[in-house]
Amino acid sequence: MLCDRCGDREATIHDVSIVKGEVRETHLCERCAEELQAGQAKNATLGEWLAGLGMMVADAPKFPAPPKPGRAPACPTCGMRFLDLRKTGLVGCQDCYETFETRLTPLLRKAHDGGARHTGKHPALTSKREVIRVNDAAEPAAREHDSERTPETVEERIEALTHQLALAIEAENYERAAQIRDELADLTGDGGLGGFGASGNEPGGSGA
Amino acid sequence: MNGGGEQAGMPWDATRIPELCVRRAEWLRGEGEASDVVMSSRVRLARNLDGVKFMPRAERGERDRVLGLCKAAILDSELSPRMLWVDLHTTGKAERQLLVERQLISRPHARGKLSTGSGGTEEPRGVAVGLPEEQFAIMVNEEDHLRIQAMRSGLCLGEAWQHADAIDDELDKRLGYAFSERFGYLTACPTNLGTGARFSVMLHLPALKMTGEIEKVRHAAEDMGLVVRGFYGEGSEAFGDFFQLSNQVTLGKSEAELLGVMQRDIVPKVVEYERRARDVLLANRRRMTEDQVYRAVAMLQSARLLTVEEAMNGLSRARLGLQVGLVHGIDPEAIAWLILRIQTAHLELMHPDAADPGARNAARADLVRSTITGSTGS
Ligand SMILES: [Zn+2]
Ligand SMILES: [Zn+2]
Repeated sequence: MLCDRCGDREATIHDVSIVKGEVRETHLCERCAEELQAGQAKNATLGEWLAGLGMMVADAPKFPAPPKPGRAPACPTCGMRFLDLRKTGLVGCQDCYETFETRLTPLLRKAHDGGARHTGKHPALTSKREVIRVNDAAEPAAREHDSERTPETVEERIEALTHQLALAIEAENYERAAQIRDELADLTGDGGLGGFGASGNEPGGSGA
Repeated sequence: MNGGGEQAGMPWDATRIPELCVRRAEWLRGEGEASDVVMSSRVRLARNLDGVKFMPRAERGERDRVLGLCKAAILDSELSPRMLWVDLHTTGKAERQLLVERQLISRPHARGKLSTGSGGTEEPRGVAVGLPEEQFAIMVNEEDHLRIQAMRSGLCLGEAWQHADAIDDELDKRLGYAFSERFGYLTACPTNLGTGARFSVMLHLPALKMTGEIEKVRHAAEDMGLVVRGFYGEGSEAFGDFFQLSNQVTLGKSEAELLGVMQRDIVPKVVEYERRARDVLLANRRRMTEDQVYRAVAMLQSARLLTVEEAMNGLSRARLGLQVGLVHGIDPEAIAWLILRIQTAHLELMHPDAADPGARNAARADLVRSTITGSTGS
């Protein structure tokens, strides 16, 4: 028997569960089972998971999303449900990516030729941010992003600068490349920790 | 990015849009690297404000606030000696259409509709355009809060990127973007996630069309993960042998990689392919090629009624004739400029009597006839 998810490898993991009197069978290869488990949401069963991924479209009606709270959580910030997301192809807010991260990952890999992690430009490279907020009372979710967007370590800063340097050279912007090189030299020369943390009015943006 | 000695004037508003009709757009200048095949280069960045719901879920009040904030940030940034700012929800249809024709806004943005079909012309949204060259445009409240675009003539993605990148830094400093370490710039559509960057070129491929090899190119491009579209983007016909080529992947590759692949690998290959097809046409099918080119020129010089499609196809073949030396005495820039001026809203706003299609076809033919006056034949 082939794996339900990839349809490629032999299924070695067989899961049978009974939900509302209905027998639910899932057959997976080791790799798919592992991938699914790794990303499984807290309370969702494997079946819902597969339905959510759209991998078993034909079988989807067998696994109706139960209306129990907490089972197929909507985005806490914008109320988007994964089904809406799949139907429209658009997320409702930045937190949707975190809310639906595990479900989105395989879709993202497909859309981006295997790409799953950002390796490009980084907004924290823009020094001295003076951010105006649309919602003065920013939600906690938004604050988390603030702390997340600031590279915490010199290593990350160096990595980001190295990217930016490659980009500047690529674009033949040698003036900028020189500036970045100087900054890199400063960072690798001395500690440089203070320099980065000191530049910001960032909420929670202390250097190390 | 301040204007330096240059005094930044008051921004133009929507009432000045008709004045654009008589201006040439940078991206159709017809100059620059490989401009015999590459009409223009364009870089687009999708960005959203941190801590604000995205367009599909933002309520009216939030959209209004986003629009106000972005407008202020853009106009305060002195990105250009003069800016045009248009509140699209209070602007007429012909004016909005003119911005579409100049590729300053997308068609969905003109209509105020998201890809989901929600929204309408009253949705609060706008666009800022850098004048006088129209080398950049910033859409506010399209699918994302911000869509930054920079355009250049010919194959010039590096410079277009630098420009978009600089505008991006300037606006980020003032507005603050939604960003995550893992997913990069967070966008309304997951297919734009990561860099949020599209690098695209507008190609003129008449010879590949005539030899029938265009389908091979299209498939090869799609296999390489690129998107091929018509002149006016998604869903539009490839009128006049013009095609847009852009990257599909935005996550997992850096801007430098995306840019490098387009600028140095893919586009030069397509350019080489088109040039070879032109040589082959002249060497092996000269009579047929001459016939197509001279018929096109004769139509442009003689027709009394022209549809957009006829005019675009005619201009495309005339341009081919110029590039391969079959046609002389016609200003190549005039052809490039006509591509813009024959479009519906351009005619409508220039000729108030050309409101219905019949009158427009007449006005279009008159305009083309009076512009294409050169001799033909070698
Ligand atoms: Zn499998
Ligand atoms: Zn959300």
